Amino acid sequence: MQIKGVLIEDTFAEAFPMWVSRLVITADTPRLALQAAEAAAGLAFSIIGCACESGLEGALPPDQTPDGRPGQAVLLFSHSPEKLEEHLFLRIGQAILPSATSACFNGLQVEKFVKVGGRLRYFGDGFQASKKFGDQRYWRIPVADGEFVVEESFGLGLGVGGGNLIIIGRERSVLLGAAESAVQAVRSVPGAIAPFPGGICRSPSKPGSQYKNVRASTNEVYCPTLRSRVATQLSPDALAVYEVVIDGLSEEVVKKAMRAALLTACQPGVIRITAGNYGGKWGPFHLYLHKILEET
Amino acid sequence: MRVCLDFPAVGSSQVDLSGILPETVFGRTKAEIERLPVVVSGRQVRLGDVCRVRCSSKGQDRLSLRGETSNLERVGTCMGVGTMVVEGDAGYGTGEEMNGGTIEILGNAADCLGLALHGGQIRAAGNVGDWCGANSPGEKDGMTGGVILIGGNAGREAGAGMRRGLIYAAGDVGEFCAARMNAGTFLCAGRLGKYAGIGMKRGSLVAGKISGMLPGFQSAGEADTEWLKICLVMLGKINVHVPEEWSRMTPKRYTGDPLEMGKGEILVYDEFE
Repeated sequence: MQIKGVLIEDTFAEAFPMWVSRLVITADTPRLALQAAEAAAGLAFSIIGCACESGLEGALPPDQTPDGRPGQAVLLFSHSPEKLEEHLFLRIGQAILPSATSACFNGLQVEKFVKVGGRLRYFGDGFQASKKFGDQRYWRIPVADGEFVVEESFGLGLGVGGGNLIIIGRERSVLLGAAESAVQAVRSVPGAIAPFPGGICRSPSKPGSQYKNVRASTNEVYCPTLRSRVATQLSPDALAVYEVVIDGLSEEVVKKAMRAALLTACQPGVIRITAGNYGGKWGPFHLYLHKILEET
Repeated sequence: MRVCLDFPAVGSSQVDLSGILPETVFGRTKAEIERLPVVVSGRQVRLGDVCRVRCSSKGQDRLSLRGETSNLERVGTCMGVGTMVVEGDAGYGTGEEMNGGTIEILGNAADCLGLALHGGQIRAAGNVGDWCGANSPGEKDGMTGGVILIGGNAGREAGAGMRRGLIYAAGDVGEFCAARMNAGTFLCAGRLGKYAGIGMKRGSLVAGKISGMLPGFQSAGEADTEWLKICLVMLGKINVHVPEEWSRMTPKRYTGDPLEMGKGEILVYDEFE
């Protein structure tokens, strides 16, 4: 299949179920909310090395936040509820709590909840107080610019992680532009994130390595500098490869984001778009590129 | 199903309507509803003897009380679900120990509105009497949950012994407001009477003005409180519009009562008189 002269390979992205949480972070200004959200989503690019994947879902206007202030929604993914709870506690406590004027709320209404604010309250050293409106309990932790308000419990749902596109192009700068557009397209889909820095990964990995203690290593078949030494996946005119990894609240969301990214990435200078998989043995979600384009 | 109970404007006997609830009325025939017991001046009579019952299968489930409603006592006591509408003034003890559902009062309400309320929402368009959302006589705790919305003024000891929940009064509130408050939130858009927050351990009292702060309450400067913003957003969603200046002004914060736990707070938007 070709779109605007770009070959779409007949393959699939292999995706996995992941536990997900959605944070709504608010602050006095959109800039402060963004700052806190970026801090909370920091160093959470790959489940392999970071134990969680995270990204900004998007800005929220004041009328969509619990306290009527500008906000940001952040999605946080991990492979187990325990690990996700640990990262929620760590990231809210270490990144959002110290951010000026911030507050943090649960943004996912599901059946499973874990206490996060209910544990963070002890930072208040006995001066903390709670407020309960309806079924929601909030903790007020005194801090030096007022109070940090955090919801007691955060929802843990089952999402999908590992959707991906591998975009291969002739020239690095042109390819980068196409990949950045694809990331913008992912971010336009509610409930989807592209977790890598700027949403782009320049180091597609393969599981394992020739070194026994290394769980993942560079995927040499996509490295242009190694084309003369390995069974390369690159055509002679391909000079760079970027991967866009996509996580979402559901399989449908990931498919929608992949489709949007695929269509946007088909730009001059892009030769081929493919997807990463492990032969279909590991992940239950097989997101075929052709089907995604035809179905949706 | 819609059920309307029309009370004639004759006689001044107090009718204890505590057994007449959405959960006891819906699903019954008109004849069965008319046979339900109520107490008038200490004597048990049939509901059909004191009002005209009309039933309609159309529309959402709603139990309406019409006519001379100010003589009706303990309307919606221990109510758990559904909607009751008092199309006039409500008598003593409306919504006492209610657990859920909604009571809407289109007029004023007498004393003890939402006494020891546990859940649900009571909305009174006009003024309400004393002990609104307070504790039952002899009991320690006042309301432990739910929401009371008052369109006008409230009397003495509103929110006394309050443990959880929210009360909002658009007008003024009488003396001893939120006395012995243990937790919860009381908002008064008008002026709070004397001795507000006396004996409060925890909880929040927010007021436009206050008729004097109790000695012992300490100033804690201006309070930019995010929890209050959450509260105002929540009130906005149920069509309660707080004074416009509350969203742009920062209230002054006082903590107390030091004779108790001292973890309570009074937020005041205007200088007290």
